[in-house]
This record gives sequence, structure tokens and C-alpha cells, in this order.
Amino acid sequence: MVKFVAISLCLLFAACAETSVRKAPFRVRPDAPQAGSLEGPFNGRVLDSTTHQPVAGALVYGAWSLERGAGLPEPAGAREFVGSTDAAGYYKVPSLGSLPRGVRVTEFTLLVYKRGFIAYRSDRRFTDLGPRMDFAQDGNQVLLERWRTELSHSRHLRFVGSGTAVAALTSWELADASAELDGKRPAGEDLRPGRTGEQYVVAAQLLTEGDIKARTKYDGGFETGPLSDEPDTATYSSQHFKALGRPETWDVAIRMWRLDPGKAQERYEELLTQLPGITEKDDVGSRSFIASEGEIRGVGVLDAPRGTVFLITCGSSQCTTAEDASALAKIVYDRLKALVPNAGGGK
Amino acid sequence: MKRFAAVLALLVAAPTTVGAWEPSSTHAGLTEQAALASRLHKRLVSLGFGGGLFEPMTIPPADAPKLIEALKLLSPTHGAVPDARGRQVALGWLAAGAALADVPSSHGANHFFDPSTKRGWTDPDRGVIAALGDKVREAIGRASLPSKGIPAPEWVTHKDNPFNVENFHAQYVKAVSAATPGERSRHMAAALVAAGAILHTLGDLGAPSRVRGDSAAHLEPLGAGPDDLGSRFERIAALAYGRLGVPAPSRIVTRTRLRDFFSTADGQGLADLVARTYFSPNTLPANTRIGGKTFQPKLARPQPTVPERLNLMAASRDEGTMLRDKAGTCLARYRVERGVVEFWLDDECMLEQVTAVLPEVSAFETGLLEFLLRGELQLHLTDSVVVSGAGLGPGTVEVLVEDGRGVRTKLASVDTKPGQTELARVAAPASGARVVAVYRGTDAQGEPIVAVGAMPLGR
Repeated sequence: MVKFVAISLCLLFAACAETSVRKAPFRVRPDAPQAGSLEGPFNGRVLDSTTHQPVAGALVYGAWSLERGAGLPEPAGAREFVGSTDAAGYYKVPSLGSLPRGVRVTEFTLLVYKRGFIAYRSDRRFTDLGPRMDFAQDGNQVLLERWRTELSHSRHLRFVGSGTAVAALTSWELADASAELDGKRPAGEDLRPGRTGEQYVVAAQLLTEGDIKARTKYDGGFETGPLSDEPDTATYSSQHFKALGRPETWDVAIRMWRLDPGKAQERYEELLTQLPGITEKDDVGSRSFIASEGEIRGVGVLDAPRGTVFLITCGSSQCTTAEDASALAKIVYDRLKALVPNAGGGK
Repeated sequence: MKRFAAVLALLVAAPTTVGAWEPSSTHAGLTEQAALASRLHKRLVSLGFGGGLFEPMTIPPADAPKLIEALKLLSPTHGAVPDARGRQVALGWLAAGAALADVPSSHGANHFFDPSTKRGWTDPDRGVIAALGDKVREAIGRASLPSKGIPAPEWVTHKDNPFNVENFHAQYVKAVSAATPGERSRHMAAALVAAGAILHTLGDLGAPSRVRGDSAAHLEPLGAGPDDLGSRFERIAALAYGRLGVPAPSRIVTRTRLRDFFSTADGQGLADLVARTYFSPNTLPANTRIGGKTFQPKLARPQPTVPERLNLMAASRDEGTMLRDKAGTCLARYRVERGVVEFWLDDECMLEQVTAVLPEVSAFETGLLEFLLRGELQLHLTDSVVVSGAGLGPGTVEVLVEDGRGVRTKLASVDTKPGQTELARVAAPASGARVVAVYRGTDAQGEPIVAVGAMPLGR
């Protein structure tokens, strides 16, 4: 009898529903008005907001929040997905699997992180921490903004959240975050481009995939993003053009340092002493050299009036001659001059 | 305005939902803001946790399996879940406490306090059908609602509360006095969990329904099935601000007694402030016929009051108009229907209230965190180490020296008397990197207190 009453009431109130899912606060597709599903699956593409090139190898972390109880609810667990973007910047998060009965799905959050960029969350924006309205379940586009030195690491660490995968990748920010709370900025040069009124330039703006292809006639694709050896800072930025499906001899990279003129000179001298196979040419910028080691060609340029040094490295399959690498350096120098007019009127 | 439009759009997409200030979003955000505005970072650094709020601290899962198990119930994206080794930063442990205060859900019933009746949660009468539904849920093993809760001001010191003030103090003392850095890290993490949960209990009293005896407001049917019941007000806060958007404190509230943060005889506690400032869904002014010389609807509580003259022209529209307080915050929406003034709370109005109340909640939580950390000792080195502290009652002060490896050993333990400024004088150690002192006793008000201090030795 008790069982009958229970079953009847279950039918009446649907109280025995296996698992319930809240309505998703995001769209099913960017161009659709319908709400998506918290259960997924999710897919999208991650691009560099500066260059609109795909960002490969970014952490893609999805987490579902589960809850149970009525009136005074309590957390009932979480489900995680850890993956990364592919060479073309695409990601896929599979559907949430089966869940224990009596549990409801209340939330899904996607986090995309790659060192050198500001992390992306599906629920909040980093800039003002306001609700993100443009996340979509299917065909989502993630534009990763490059990290800038004036940004706060303590804010960023709060933004990315916690968990094993995320904590491991962001642990390098802890010291800087702590220094901020001590009232100290992280050690090192602090030119803070963009704050002093000067033009903010990153390496990715100086050389594009199109520039390379136009010069070398390469017909393949690249995946692009900052080099993984050093993160971008106020004074340093990089861009790696990794040839898709080809050996490293097809890769191109640019590293750029923006310093005061004296320090730029010192950095250039360091490169001269450190790099192998140096020949000083002085045919681009204030000074320039070509370097070579094995199958890698390099061109270093000092732009003294702008306090800028850049180094282009190009594999021998991509830059079949030293002239190819020098031509890319000239393109970069011309673009730098266009982006950062020199008040002093130097060369 | 931008935020409002965004939140309304979210509400359209997700028209219903949840329970308390949401533990892993709003509560975690409130405690994070309190920590950032408080002296906690400096205190941690002074005690040897060099990274302060971003110092990684470890509670090995084997040492606290239940705690770690409970933390696994949370989504890591909210910043309160340690890694597989039980490691996360100090700020994360504090947020973890805030998120865990509602686990198990019966503890959530102890986060209510109506200053006018001095009572906490009471299971509202929802009628026969709903009661039968509850019985069914119980029969099939679902959580049932407790009939009563312990009032929030009592819960923070209650013996059944695993995160009570007593436990906070015990862990805080060990975070200074334990021998090894690993042990101290573990105890400090545990102290922060307790502190986060205490802040959560106070912060809950920023929701009007929790301080106006309106338990029924926590049983609104919310979207995902019949069990998905909760407070729409608190859900709006979560949608509008989440964890990351919770505002910084408007000020730092100062009180000399723990209970005064909750409620005082002269109405200066958070519960008093919120109860007299806002209506809750089931304590709105009663529907009242117009016609008399003055308009005086029946009120569930003396405050807030309703002006004698309302804008009846605007109230005759379908959507009615808003009743606002002196600061311009919406208190309720009202309209005239067949000569009767009806009051209700809609999302727009509740969002205004959330926007006004969250900085105040944040201010009280920051003040409470400062209160928990208020005890400070000064250490001076002459030919001996002198430990002094002001405003302390009877207690015990322990003085320890830390060696180059970070291991601390006791130099002395001294009982202190009320009103004593110099608490201990101990022969200076021959070697060591730092001297620390920790006092446990009562303050001048008779409130339990732990006071700490440290001084580098450089020997």
C-alpha cells in the first residue's frame, strides 16, 4: 500500500525522475536563439584575438556541477573533461554521461587556457568579470587575448579557478600574484606598453602567415601562437608559425624585444655573441646580422631609435636561401616603422 | 544597466533555479573579496607563509579523507578544489570553507536568523500535497527538510558545527605552533576552511528571507524537476555576479563581539540591517483596498514601511510600478487591480536589492574575518625576547623559535593575567631564523581570541 502511494505520488509529481537538468544559460549555436544543453556535447575553435590564427595545444577544461536536495540543496559532485585544441584550434567536449539518480545538473563551465594568453571562461569575461553572453554549445568561437604585463595575476588566478589540470599550468603565476598583494609589481622591467601612451605592438602584428607564403611560396598551413619557451611580457613577445604536418625545417618564428635604446643595444650585442654562424650585414634597421646553424637560418635586427630588437628564425625548407629570411626581416621592419612612428626621425 | 540586461537575458534562458546564496559562486566570491580586503595576506606572510593568499597549502587526502571527499563534490572551476595531492592556495581553502558550509544540506538550515523572533529555520507549512511529496522523497532516500534549524549566531559556536569558532582557533594555534612547515600548512588550511564556513554563515543573513522568518521563500519551484526548489533571490545573485563578479566591500564593519556581526540589541547586526531594509517574497505588505484617507497595508514586520501615498496612476498599469527606499533601491513592485493594491517581487526588483546588499554583506564578512584575525602580538628582541599584546584577558602564550629548516621548537609557555601588556619575557635563543608567539585566551570583552606575532631573527 505504501509502495502504491509512493508510486502514485511519484507519477503525480515526477519526484522519481532519474536525473534533471537545468536550462542552459547559453545558446545552442552562436546564430540560434534556442538555449543549448548543459549536458553537451560542446565544440568550437580557439583563435588568437590579435592575429585570428588558430591556437593549438590550449588546455580545454570542462566541468559540470551537480546538485541534490530540495530547498536546502547541497553539491552532489562534479564531472570533468580535460583536453586540448588540435592543430587547427578546434576542441570537442563529449556529452556528460549517466549520473546517479536524484542528482541534477546545474551548471557547465568551459575554461580555455594557454600560457601567454588571458584564459577564457564560458560564464564570465576577464575584463570586467561580467556574465559572458556569447558562449555557444556548438560552433563556439574563443578569441584568446594575449597576456599583457599590466594585467593582474592575482585576478587571473581567481579567474581560472582550481583543480589539478589548471593549477599545474598556472602555478608559475603564484609568485607574481603574491607580489601584487604585497604592493610590489613582479620583478623585471616594467615598461607596461599601453599604459605609457606608446603604441602597443606584439610580434604577431609584425609578420603574418600571408607574408611568409608570399615570399616562400609555401602552400601548406601553419598553426600559430606564442613560442612555448618564454611567455609574452611587456618587453618581449613571440610568434611561432608551426608548419602543419611538416618537419621543423618548415617552421618560422619571430621574437621581439621592446626596450629602451640602451638596453636594446645590449640585447642585440648578446645575440651577436650567443648565436652561431653570425655574419653582420647591417642592411636592415640600424644594424642587422644573419646567423645559421644546421638547418635553421636567423636574421637579427636592431632598430635603435625605437629601442626594438627582433630575431627571425626560419627553417631551411621554408627559407631555402638566406635572402628569404632577410626578406622576411625587411617586411617586419617596414611594418614596425608603420606601427610605431619614430618621433626622433631616425632611420 | 548593462548588467541588468545581461542578467535578464540569462533569466530568460534559465528561468528558474536554486537554494542559498550559492555556496560555490556567491559565497566563494564573498569570502574571496573579504580576504582580499582584510589583513589575511599580511598575516600569512608574517607567519612564514611567504605567498600569503597565494601560498600553496596541502591537506594530504589521507589526513582528512572526509574533507577531501566533500571538496570533490564541488566544481573546480569555482576555485575551491585542491589538486590530487590535496594542494591549493590559501585563498582556495578559504573559498572551500565557504562552499562546504552547506554540506550536508541539514547544516544549511542553521544559516537563518530572524532578529524579531530570535528563531532560525522552521520548515514551512506547504500544505498536504507538498507534505506528501516530501514523505515520498524521504521514502525513496532523498533529502528531507529539517523541521528546525539552529539560529545562525549560535551555529557558529555550536559544538555540532565542524567549522565552529573553537575549531578555527584550535587550527590557527597549530598553524603557528606545529613543528614542521608541512604540519603548519595543513593546520592553516584547516583554519581557513573553518573561517570560510563561519563567513558563509554570517553572509547568508544578507538574504531577506533568511532574516524575516520566510523559509517558504526557499521552496519556490525552480526549473530542474520537483526537487529543484530554492530562493530565486539568491539565484539572481549567482547569475548576476557569480563568484568572480561579487563586489568588494563597501566598508569594513567593526564589532567587538562575534555575535554583534549577526545581530545586536540596537539593530546593528547584518540580520537586523537586512530585516528592516527589505521585504522577502512572503513578508510583503498585504494586498490592501484603497479608499481610506491613508494607505496603511498590514506589514509582517514594522520595517520597512510603506509610504502613505503611492503612485496609483503608475500602479494602474499592468506591470505596476516600483516602491523604492530613500536610496532608490526597489523594495517591491505594486499595482492596482480592481481597487486593491497588490505587492510582489519581480526579478528586476530583486536584482536591485542584490546589487545594494552584496557590498554590505561583503563589508560584514570582511569585518568578521578581521575580527577572527584581530589578535596581534608584538615581539621585541633585547637580551631576551619580549612578547607583548594589548587588550587581552587571561590566557596562555607560547613562544617558539624556528630554525633554518623551518622547524619550530617551544621556548616557553606562560600563563597571562588580564590587563597585562608584557605577556612573556624569554631568554633569546642562541640561533634561529624566526621567533613566533601565539596566545590563546580571551580578549577584554571576554571573547575567545587567538593572537599571533612573529619576528625574524637572522641568526
